[in-house]
Parts: sequence; structure tokens; C-alpha cells
Amino acid sequence: MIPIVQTDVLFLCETIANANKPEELKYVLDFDCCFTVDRQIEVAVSLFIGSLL
Amino acid sequence: MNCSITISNYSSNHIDAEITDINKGKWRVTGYYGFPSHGRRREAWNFLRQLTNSSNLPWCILGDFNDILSPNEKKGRNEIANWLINGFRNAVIDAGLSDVHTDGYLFTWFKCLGTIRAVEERLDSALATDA
Repeated sequence: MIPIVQTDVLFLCETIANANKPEELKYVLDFDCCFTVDRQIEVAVSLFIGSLL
Repeated sequence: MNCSITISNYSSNHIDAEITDINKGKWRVTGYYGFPSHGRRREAWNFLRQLTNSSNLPWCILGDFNDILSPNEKKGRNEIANWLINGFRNAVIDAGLSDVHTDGYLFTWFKCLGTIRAVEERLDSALATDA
């Protein structure tokens, strides 16, 4: 998953990844920060924030 | 990086962050995931109202609302019930939010494409306060 437009904020939801995957994506997509609420029952949510703000 | 970020609150349905930008000041961004089932719509709308009350900062909330603001945000066989559209619209109005203009293809979710049961909806969007 590579964004085709440069973005400052990315929010992912309904993901089934554990917390390691978003952290990996943060580096791949070149964001500065990533915070994930790990999946409670079936899905997780992650907020990525970049340096262009 | 010209800003600092504080995660102010979170749940399995949202992540709230306060951004302090040295040029633009403080603002708030929320990633939001609305309960998908119709049975929890009112709970979702009230949650949106609750989020509003937790800060006075200029605010952008984006994500998967699992709701639409007007009938033209759905394409497919069955029309969505008016009470669902009106319930979400009222929550958005109560929260002081407006739809942020988006470019590109309107619909963000689909199922059964290529069949007579095809449905497309704009369930993902960004809303923001005027400030």
C-alpha cells in the first residue's frame, strides 16, 4: 500500500494488523508519528502524522 | 518537523490528537471509525457529539463514518432510510462540522460490483469546523 498523493495525515481503520505492522508502515511511508489502538475484538485503528504540517 | 503532537484520547473507534504548529497554532485532528451496524447508529452519532465537547480547538475529523450525509452519496438498488441520513446530518450540525471538499471518485466503499446487486457509498470523509 503506497499512497499516490503526498499526505500529512493518514488514518487506517478496520485493519487486522497488530501494532507492529503500522510501525513498519510508518517507516515505509515516511511519516514521523504513528499511534495505533490495537485490535480489541476484530479491528484496529491507526493515525499517522507526517512532517509537512 | 514544525509541530508537536499529543495524543489526547483514544478508543477502538477513534484517535484524538492535538497538533501544536509553530506557525499555525494549535488544532485538533481525529481519526474516526463509526460503528458499522445499523443497530448502533444512534450510539455513533452521540459519540460524535461527545467528541465535539472535549475540545474547543479548530478541528478536523476524518475516517470511516459508516454514514452518509445525503441520498446522492449512495448508488445502488435500495435507497438508504431517511432517518439514517437525517440522524447523521443532525449529529454533524450539532458538532459544528462541515463536509470538507474532496476530489476524485465520490464513492469509497462498494460491494457486488458488476452485478445487479451492486452498491457504492461514500462512507469515508473528512469534516471540519469553520475556524
